Amino acid sequence: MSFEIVASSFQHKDIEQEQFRRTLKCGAIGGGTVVALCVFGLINQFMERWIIENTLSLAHATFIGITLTVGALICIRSPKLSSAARIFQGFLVGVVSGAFLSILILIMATFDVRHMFVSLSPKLLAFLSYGFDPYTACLVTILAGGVLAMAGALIRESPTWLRKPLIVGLATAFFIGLFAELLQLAMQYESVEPIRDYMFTWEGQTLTGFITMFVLGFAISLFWVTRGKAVMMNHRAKSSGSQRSIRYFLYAIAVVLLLLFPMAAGSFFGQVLMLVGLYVLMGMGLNLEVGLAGLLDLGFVAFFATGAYAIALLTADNEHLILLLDRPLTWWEALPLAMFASLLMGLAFGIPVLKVRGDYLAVATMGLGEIIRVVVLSDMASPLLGGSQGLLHIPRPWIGNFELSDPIHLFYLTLISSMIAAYFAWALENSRLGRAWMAIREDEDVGQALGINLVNVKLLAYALGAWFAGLAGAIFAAMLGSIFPHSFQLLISINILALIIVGGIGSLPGVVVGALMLIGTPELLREFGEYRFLAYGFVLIVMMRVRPLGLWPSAVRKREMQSAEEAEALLRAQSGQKA
Amino acid sequence: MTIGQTLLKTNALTKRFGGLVAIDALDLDVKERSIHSIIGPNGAGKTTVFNCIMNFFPIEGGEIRLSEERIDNMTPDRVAYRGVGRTYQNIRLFKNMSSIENILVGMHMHLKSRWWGAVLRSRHSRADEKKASEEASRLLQYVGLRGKGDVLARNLPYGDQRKLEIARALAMKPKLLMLDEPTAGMNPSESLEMVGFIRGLRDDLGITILLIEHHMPVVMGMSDIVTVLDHGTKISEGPPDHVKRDKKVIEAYLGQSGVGHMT
Repeated sequence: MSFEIVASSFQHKDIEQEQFRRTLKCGAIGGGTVVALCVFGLINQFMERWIIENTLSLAHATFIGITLTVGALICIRSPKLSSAARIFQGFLVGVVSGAFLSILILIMATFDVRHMFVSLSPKLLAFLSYGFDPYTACLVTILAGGVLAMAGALIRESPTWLRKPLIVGLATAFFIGLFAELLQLAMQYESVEPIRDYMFTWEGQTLTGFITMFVLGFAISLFWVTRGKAVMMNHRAKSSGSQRSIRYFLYAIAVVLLLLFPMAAGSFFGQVLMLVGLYVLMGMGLNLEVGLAGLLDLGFVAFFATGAYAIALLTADNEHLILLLDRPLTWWEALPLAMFASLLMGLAFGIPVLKVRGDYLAVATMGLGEIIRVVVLSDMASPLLGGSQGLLHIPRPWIGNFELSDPIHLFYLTLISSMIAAYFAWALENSRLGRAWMAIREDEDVGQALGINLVNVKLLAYALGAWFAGLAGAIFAAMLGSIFPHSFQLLISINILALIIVGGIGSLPGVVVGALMLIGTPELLREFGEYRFLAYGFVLIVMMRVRPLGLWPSAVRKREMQSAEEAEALLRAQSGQKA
Repeated sequence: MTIGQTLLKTNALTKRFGGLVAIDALDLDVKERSIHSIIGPNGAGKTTVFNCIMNFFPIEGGEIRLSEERIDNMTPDRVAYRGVGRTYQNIRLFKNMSSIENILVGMHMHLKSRWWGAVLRSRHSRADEKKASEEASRLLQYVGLRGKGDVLARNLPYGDQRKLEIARALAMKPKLLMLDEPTAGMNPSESLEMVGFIRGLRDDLGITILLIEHHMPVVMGMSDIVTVLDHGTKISEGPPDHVKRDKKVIEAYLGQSGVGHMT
């Protein structure tokens, strides 16, 4: 009897210890992140940007966001505790996080560490201590951390109908504030002027704007959470004909918005979208190789470069021009030739690596991609390709008497090309060739023993993928008007591969989402330029841990990840229905 | 059930892995419309024979002929074109593709549509696809997997996976079907069902069957000819009754205690 009591008390102690460790860990994650952001100098930059003008800077928002998150995190990780206990844990976690930051404050106040960490400036100290003396500041920081993390835990513990709208509302208001400047640029029309003046000043979002946006996001989300199911049920109950017409109507709205938005938003947005479009185009191409045929390719940039250089050589009025007619070709005339050149490059690329499989293929193709760049840079090829001087004076495409000079015009060109590419990819996926690609992705030997000609099928994957990249390269050349070897770094190949993986391998919408996320967002946050890749790396790690399938996984991958049990249950249910 | 002329013939087929002789000067003569079994203890080189015929790796000596034509210098896909289909000991389906897609891949070489046809949705290509999916459904039904076309191969029960693998091989319309332990892991009644099914393939579809099998009742019950391998060499060959009584087989393969099983 007494033994049992002792044992249970041990057990109790164990659980307590575990919870203690968990709290420390979550707190350390939060506190560590905040301290790291300070040391890296991100907070210094974030201080300059207002989310709500003169009230809340991006730096504040970051602190708040991180603390709320760790508060919620501890709740997720402590499923055994009661709700109240979890909220209390939230408070403790916040205190731990705050303690981390307090230590930083004390260190900064006591020692001069600037010669090692440039970012830990007096200005940062002033920001962190809110004008209090260091010791009071520490106390305030710890308390604020506790309260905020507790708020995070409270949000987490609140019922769904409240939690989701809260998060959506805060996120809406935050992002509107973050991109306030860009949004204002896009609202340069008299008709929307009152809204603009209500929402923003040139410094940032107004407090009223913030609250409005929060309420708006909250309301829409609340409607969706509480009534969404009913709406969907209602929709499903309708006949398939009217369902389809509703779907087409929604598609039409999306297309119209997509067409009108860049025009309304101004040329900066146009430029960003144009870049995203180019990456989407290349992503579609690489998706044929990696997503369908399973050929991991890290030299994809070579095809992009081929397209760009082919256009430049055929159309640009300089000493490197290759004259096919008595005048330089126009962009449109050169386009098919450039795409064809890329296609040939794809073939030339595929042949040496036909027998290379898997990870080895990634390394081999990386080497091939670098070869292309180095050859272009070399003295040997410079009389032909211009070496590091590049090729200048590439004309823009004309339609009749209209020059596609603005980034927005070129964006439309990219958009149309991407749509064609998407259609291509979609049609191929459900064809004989698409199935053969998937088969060799799954098991090359078995595929071959079923009569699939590996050489043909693999080379087609390289060639068709390269074709799209060539198209992207041609548009890229026209956009910049001049091209240089240094525009075709390995990083581009890595970017394209990363966006496919983040979007969801083998998924066409995933390519678009991935490009928006990895190419579009960093472009919009250009002022934090030097930290872009820090964020980029961070996003990749988090993505692969949290959603390894990607943001918008293809249906096939989703099926793959379904556990065998689920599938069995499904099968049983189906056979039950039939019986 | 008329057994015809020689369909597959190997002359002094030799395969070495480094210093190990996996197959040593093997002569094999598979007649058309026969069910020909290869048996032997583990490591006798049975699956290696299949891999050599399929040309998964180059052979060190001898030759392989299918209907008089040499096939030992061809790539596997060309061997497949000549009419050789196979299954695998450890089932090798395209696990992440649906049943119907697996069969459609098997039909790959009989489909005519080209990639541009698929992109342009040409009438020819659409008709081709339609015909293919109808035939695939028929095959699915033939092997008893009706209604499971959309299930991922990996999620099928074990027995169904075996059936699907055979269906995929049948989609190639092979002249010679090589089955590598089709009843492995099956209980006696399932094995019996499989025997009937394989007989049907030969009797109804006229396909020649080359079989690797461990279950003696299966082998002895349906084979026309049995070849016994040990350490890469043929130690006996002939009708089941002949092989059953062959002293060399009993000694080398089954051992003294195994005699009881044979009768």
